[in-house]
Amino acid sequence: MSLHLENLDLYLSSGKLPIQVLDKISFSLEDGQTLGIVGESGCGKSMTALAIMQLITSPPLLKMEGKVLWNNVNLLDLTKREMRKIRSKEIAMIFQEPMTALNPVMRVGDQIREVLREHNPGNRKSENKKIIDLLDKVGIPSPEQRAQNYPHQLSGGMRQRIMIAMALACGPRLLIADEPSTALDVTIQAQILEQLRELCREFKMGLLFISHDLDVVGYLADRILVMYAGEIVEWASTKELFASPAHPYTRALQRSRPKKNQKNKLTPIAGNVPPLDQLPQGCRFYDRCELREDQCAMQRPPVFKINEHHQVRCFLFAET
Amino acid sequence: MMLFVLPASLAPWIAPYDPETISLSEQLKPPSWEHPLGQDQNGSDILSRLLYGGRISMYVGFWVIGISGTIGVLIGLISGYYGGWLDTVLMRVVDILLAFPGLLLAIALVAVLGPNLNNVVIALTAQGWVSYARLVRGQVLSVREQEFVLAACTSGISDNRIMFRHILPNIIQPVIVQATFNLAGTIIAESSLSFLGLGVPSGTPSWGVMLSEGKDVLFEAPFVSIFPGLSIMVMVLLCNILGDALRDYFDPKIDS
Repeated sequence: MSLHLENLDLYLSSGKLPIQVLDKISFSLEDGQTLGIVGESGCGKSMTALAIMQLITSPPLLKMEGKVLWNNVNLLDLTKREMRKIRSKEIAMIFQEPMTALNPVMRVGDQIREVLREHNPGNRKSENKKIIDLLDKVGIPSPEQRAQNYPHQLSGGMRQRIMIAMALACGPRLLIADEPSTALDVTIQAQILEQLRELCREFKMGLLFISHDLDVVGYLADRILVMYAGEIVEWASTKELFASPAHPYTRALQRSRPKKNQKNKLTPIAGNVPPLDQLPQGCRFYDRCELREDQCAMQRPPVFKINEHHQVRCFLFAET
Repeated sequence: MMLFVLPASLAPWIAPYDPETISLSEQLKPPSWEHPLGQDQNGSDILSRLLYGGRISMYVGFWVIGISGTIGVLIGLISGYYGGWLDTVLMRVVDILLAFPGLLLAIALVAVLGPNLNNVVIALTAQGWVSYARLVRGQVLSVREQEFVLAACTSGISDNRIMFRHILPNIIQPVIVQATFNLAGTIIAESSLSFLGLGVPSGTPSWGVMLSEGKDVLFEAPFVSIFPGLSIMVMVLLCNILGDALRDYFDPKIDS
């Protein structure tokens, strides 16, 4: 079981103009591994996730090119019906906002039952047992009562746990988590992350973890992709990325996060991400880069290999 | 409301007289102890006729909101959920139907189909579903963008289940409110059609028919038309009050 993205391009329509939201995204994720994607808002993290799940509808979807290979099957070629079989059964996804990602007028137990029923229907009794088991597994106390609750009766952390239970209901091989802990407070966030890690280990499930928080990703992931303005700017093992960040953007991200015993002020990254319809001709990070050179403005840097586990899209590493 | 629905539905058991008995010797008798609301020009008991007439209003009212509600909700759901050309086509049909003045279309249809009770239902349904379709479509458009719909989609749940299990329960409240107001409108429309002789065959007790029969003797015996008119008014008023109350109940924003 593995996921390979090869040169995935995604174009959306905005008004009349097509804008390219993802540019040649390639990565692979083997069974049981955890891959983190970091980047700031609007860099294409969530779009990558939605594109893998084939959840972007037209409009605004204009076209998708490249390959999303899941066990060597290109998901872009599947029909709607075939894709539905893969969702949740093989690849599941959890979302950022546990407040809105649950149906407010349905008991949470029934929402999990829906997923079960769609993929492997059983009788009500065995379903009930499975629901309770799932809730128990994601750390919900007194699952029998909680299953009868409506979402508004549960706290944010609980709701996120319910989402995870729903995602796990059909025993997926890959879980895509799109900022699952962002809307929660820090202690709950830590619990949820820990829970996710354990569950992935227990089910030997791959995890694609998306966040804007480098520390959170570093905590979970084996390898990290750094995205900026729709492209991958750096790709490295977690250890390597933290020890020797290569791309100026990654370095700036590192500097902008708080550390233990923080004395001086945090260093923010000046400026904003360029709008996707006004991308510069050269490097997309040019405007904000501290180490920019003349050629960066003219030419888009290709991907350079630093070593086996480390690639970067920056001219600074051209000689290596 | 129950004050009307209950007696009307129990009419055959509680009506003091047969509504179609003709007793020409007792024409246009004013209200008395034997006939609390008087007798019409055929000598039939007005109270009994009112009770039976209420049945017709209810019959038409409930069938029309039932059928047009179902059709409208279905079309609104499909239109709002799938969008695209299907939405465009369906909504143009809605626009075309809305371009007709309501009663005119119904009159034309009944004229073609012939006046009887079921054709009245068909005629009123023909345009009745439109308002539901619009309402539901608008609601679906906003609910569809919520994350739980995307989440359901992610779980591989089919479009039908998403529409009926996830979206519909979230938007049903305004539909119920709409239905109550629609009931009032339908009752008026049925009465109007009957008044114009395009509803139920004359002789059958219906509020509209009674009103139209009463107008010939308006000066000698005003009570013949006053009571059915009053019934229509109070019934419609009650429907509207009920609709208002339901809206207040469902809408937390107006809560004060």
